[in-house]
Amino acid sequence: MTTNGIKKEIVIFFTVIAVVGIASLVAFRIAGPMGIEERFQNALGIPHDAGDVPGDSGVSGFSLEGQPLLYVVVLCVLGIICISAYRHF
Amino acid sequence: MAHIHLEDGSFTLFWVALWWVIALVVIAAALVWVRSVKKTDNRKITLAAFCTAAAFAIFQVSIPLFGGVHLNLTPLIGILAGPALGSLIVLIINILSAAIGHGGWGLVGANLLVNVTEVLVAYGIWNMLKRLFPGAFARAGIATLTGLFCGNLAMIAIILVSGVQGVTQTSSQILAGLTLIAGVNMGVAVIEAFITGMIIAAIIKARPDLLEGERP
Repeated sequence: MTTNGIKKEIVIFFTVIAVVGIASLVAFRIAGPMGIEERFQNALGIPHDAGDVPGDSGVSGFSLEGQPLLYVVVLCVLGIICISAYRHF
Repeated sequence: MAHIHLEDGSFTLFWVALWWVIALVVIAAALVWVRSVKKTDNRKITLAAFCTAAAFAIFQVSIPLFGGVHLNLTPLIGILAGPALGSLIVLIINILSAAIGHGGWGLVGANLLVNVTEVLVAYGIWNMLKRLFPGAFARAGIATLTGLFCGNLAMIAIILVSGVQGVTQTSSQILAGLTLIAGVNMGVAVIEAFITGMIIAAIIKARPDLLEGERP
């Protein structure tokens, strides 16, 4: 493939990225900053539970959804399966 | 990424059952497809295992962007594993996610359909654009964006068709709200497009044999 061809497709890709990115930022400005569940509740008009408390903010804003212990257990099992598959095949 | 973040009980039992039945039919078709291949490539099975582990790991992590979002790598799964194995991978991820408390069991069927849409569309676009976009990075990125866009459309369609129990808003109000969610989700899709593009480009450079018909 020619260098011009690669440049052309990269330009098309970044143009699409720019358009989608701007549209997304506009949507975010309208919706406001909130978590995924809150965003769904607001969109559908589901009343917020009065007992709702903010979740764990995690490390630097990164947090786990679901049970952390089960997450680690499942991930370990998947890791073992990956290693077994890699060694077997 | 598109994922229906509603609790169990949001859809009526009829719609929960219907989405589950349709999802099971899709999975049965994927199983028949996989079995129809006389000898499945062992490398594909190993790749599928790695895709499952990576996607499960990243799917549970809430990233502090746009108020909290997460990636799911479904387009990457579609491109690497193909539509049949990819559908089985997203089934496993959805079941494991529900098992650890991320999402309700009743919504696994609906979410599976959303994720299968992403897998199928990304795989289709990746192959369709082969002549137009021979470079892997841009092609994988465009396939990811399109796949995730279609996943959002599937998510909106499923919620609108099912309706949500205990909601007094009109369909047009719900559509407006869900369109905003889809818009925000597409911001995450941009990040996912870059990640998928870089991973696919790196794989084609290092191990082109893992992707059919690709060369560095």
